Amino acid sequence: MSLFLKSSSAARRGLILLACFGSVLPAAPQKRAVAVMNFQNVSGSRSLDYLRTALPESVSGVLAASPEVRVVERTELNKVLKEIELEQSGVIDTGQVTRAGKLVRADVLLIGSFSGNAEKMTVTLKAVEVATGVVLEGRAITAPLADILEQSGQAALALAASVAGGKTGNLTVLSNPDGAEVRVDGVVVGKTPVVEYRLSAGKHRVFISKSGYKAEEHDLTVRPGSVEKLSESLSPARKSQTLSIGVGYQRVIPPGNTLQQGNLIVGHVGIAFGKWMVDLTYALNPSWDHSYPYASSFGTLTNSRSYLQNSYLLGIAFEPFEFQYFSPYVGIFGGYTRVSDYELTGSDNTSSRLASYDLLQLGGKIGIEIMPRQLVSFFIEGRYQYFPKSISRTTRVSQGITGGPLSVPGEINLSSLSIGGGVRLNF
Amino acid sequence: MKKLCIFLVCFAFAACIQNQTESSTPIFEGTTEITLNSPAADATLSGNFQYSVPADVKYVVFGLFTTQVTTSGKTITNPSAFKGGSRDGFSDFSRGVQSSTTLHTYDSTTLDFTATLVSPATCTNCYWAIWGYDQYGNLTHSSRQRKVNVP
Repeated sequence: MSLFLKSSSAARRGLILLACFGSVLPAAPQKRAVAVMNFQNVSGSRSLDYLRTALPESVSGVLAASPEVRVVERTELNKVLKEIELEQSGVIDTGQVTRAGKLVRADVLLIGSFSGNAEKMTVTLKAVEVATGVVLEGRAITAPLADILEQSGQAALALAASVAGGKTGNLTVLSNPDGAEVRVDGVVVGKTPVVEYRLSAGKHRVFISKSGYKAEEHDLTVRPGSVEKLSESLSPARKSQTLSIGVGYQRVIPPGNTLQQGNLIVGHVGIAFGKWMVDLTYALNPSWDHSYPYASSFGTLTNSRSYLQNSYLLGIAFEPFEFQYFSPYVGIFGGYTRVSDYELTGSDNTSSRLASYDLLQLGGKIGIEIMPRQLVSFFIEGRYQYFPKSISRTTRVSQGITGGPLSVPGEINLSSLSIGGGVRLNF
Repeated sequence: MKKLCIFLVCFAFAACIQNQTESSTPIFEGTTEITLNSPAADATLSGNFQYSVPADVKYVVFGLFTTQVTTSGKTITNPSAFKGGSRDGFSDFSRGVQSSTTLHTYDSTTLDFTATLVSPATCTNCYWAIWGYDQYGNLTHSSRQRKVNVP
């Protein structure tokens, strides 16, 4: 059986050179030596010939970073391959590889081929044990040309465990619905269901994605000899544009004691653009109590007062993170607020308006949307409504029995915090 | 002669304004009227002062003044004219009926009647009036002021 496809005097010289070169390679018994051979171009396109060396160069570079294997220097390897006239053909069968590997004192030869075109290229990698000629493991990667170098390198790294004879485990990935693309450490390993994909033992990052669904990412540890199972129920991805209408309730907690806690009823219409949402909000505080007691000749009486607050606000919110069941958001808002001051009089509690004020309102909000991608979602929200301008607020003092109470001018700022929640319909 | 007649008419009108026996409107503007029953205008008190207060008035004040009451808006501007008075809160106060023997003196520092009774309550060419407050202390009702002689 011939050692090489082209048997010639050049090949013989190459063998001698290989033997000489191999004799000076440093021994590293603790690591298995890997030689990455030139890849075979089976794409039929000569314009891709550069990948014959570019791919193994990339793979070698990545493998060199692996602590599990030692990589035979490709510069020296190429000299040998050239001498034995395998540099151009790259056609190497398993038997040839076995013998050639022994010449370069490699424990494992990594051989590969590529096919396809720039849009979709498939690279096949095989790790062959030199001593036995057994294929330890094979991988096929499919990716666009732009990504193929990186993906091949990552795939080779995944082979490192097998190449090194190290501990390996298996990974099974299931998804609902199936057909989701699975990447392990950045390498596409197939579509779900992926059954018992072999991996080096240790930590890996698994990325599962499917069009129309939210991508999921997991860090998991593969134990030696075991099958790790990852089952993912994919949730529908949020539409790029979503119309929502909602109602909510906020408990207004003003600072100080002048204003009592109030009830803010909020309605809004919003449009979400990805992680951003713009909304128009109407907020009504129907009766914001600011009553107070005062001394009179008849004892302590109460001046029963309340504000009616109507706000028309434009807001923008951003969702920095998106989780499956909840999504936090922060936002700002601003707009027009009309505040009317009412007072109760008479035995029938007639409400009479004392004054009205037109105000600019600004503010911020922070909240969590629960079940954010569903038709019905809920939100918990804290808001701070800030009024740059204070309003006048008269209070009264008794003038005994010599007449009605007198008004004392004063000011009040309605800036306050509120906490609440609500429900949204998303379309 | 004509000038003299005009002068006499004007003098009579002014005199009438100054010493009218009963005002034509409640003493506080913007209030609902409380009806005074007896004594009649410019009469001498025999028995008690009597008036009718609507039930929705929470607190009632009775005032007897040595001169006509003057007000500005809802404030009495001549409280020094108080001869005496009473109000809800005093144990001897009875709504609708006021005895001249249970009138309390006015204290200008507290702007309120004191526990001390006016004695004697005799008063000639005095005026009396009633006013009332709602539960929130708003001055909602008042009567006209009516001239009276208290023997």
